[in-house]
Amino acid sequence: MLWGLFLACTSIHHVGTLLEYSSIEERDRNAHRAITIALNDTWSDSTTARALAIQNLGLLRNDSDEVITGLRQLAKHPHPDLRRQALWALGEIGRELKWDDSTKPIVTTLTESLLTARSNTDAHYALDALLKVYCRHVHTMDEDLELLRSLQQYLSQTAEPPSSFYVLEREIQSLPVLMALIRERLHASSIDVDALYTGNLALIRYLNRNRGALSDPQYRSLIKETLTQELEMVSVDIHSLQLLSLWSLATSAHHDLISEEVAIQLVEQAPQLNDTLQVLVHMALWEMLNVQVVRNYFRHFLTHNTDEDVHHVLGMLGTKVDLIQQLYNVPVVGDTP
Amino acid sequence: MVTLITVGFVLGTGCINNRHLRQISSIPTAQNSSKASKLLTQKHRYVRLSTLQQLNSLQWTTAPDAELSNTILTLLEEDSEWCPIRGQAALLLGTWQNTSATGAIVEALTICDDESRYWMLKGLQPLAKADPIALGTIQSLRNDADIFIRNEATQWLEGQ
Repeated sequence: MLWGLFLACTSIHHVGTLLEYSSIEERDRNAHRAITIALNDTWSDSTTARALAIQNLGLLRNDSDEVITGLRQLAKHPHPDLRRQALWALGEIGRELKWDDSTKPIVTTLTESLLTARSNTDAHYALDALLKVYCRHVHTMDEDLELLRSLQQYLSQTAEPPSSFYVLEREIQSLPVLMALIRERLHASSIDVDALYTGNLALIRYLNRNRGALSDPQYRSLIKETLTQELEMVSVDIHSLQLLSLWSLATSAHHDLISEEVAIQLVEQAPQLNDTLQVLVHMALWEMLNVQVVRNYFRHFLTHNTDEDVHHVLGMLGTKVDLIQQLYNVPVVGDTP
Repeated sequence: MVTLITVGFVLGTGCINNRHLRQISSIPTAQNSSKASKLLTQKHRYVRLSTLQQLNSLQWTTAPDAELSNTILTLLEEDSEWCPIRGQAALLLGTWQNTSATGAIVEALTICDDESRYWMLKGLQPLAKADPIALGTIQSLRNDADIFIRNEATQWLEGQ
């Protein structure tokens, strides 16, 4: 009991003073003491002292194996204060580390913490730490792909992620990474529809967000590749994916992102699709009237279908008269010549 | 007997040492802020840091008195002071709309670590309406190397 009282009275002050040092050696010694205190599971309630010790580790920025291993262990602690402080401390230490084999296990721990987060607050701590550790470095596509895979897994199991989720996602997303992720899911032995849908939605959001920058001619081939992949998704026999891909093609068409090549493929696919999908294809094509093959397609469509069919498929785009006027450049009475 | 006396002594010393923590936690109920001023001049870093964190958590919109405000400004201006303490001082003075802190915050921003600089940015935000230098600094922080700082600066400016 006396020991308990002793601990209660002395430990917090002792832990607090570990922040004071006059040399690097002393700082390292204090970090060693702090991690020892932080890892010490006692029968008495020492949570405040342990949380303070962990906070001090983040402030001391000591990156010894002992400290990092200890903090990785504490990041899984059942007590929320301890595991959240450990996540914060890992972020603080990690933000000053070079990207090498010693940093990667920290990212693994943080990713695992995110995927097993018991609350939004836990997820917030893990995401903040990931931003600090990961985003300061340039990464390979495989590394980005691995993290993005985990982020999308987290997103698919979370209703409302913390705002820092989107900050991190934006930092690591790029067209090649997003496309690689979709390809991976598209060619998996068994297709996970939710994962594929989430991946495709992320790609569409990325395209919309970066529309201005991606209009630059240097990205032309990348955009073509992306949209060709969207076309590939249309051929997957899953209705939700088909609709999403077609919708993305339709919305991006009038931003001059769709090349003639993609337009030709859409024209080829259109007759084979069911009515619902055909409407979407026609909406996309209608935005591409500057492409000759599209104009020819509509001329043929209008002359070889009944009024009823035309209205059914193209009704939402206007009356048949309007369509013909637009296709053949027929001026409307009252229009300025 | 000797053991008991030793334990009693250590216990007593420990409890005396922990008086700072009790004083920090009693700041909200203090009749005046002189207690906080005293704590901010203590030699232990953690006492100064914890006191500032406690004051920040109280969300007072103005300084309770000039003495406390000046003590905190001294901490912020002191080049040899620890950056996490300067960061919390900047946040507090900003919350209290103390525009005389702008210069010190801008200077500290150039030398401190990113975590402390983040809190300094948060301290500049309430000052930006009255002080064009604070506003200009936030605008330049939109291009900061640290993701949290540039994100916070961008979001704040978009919200104005």
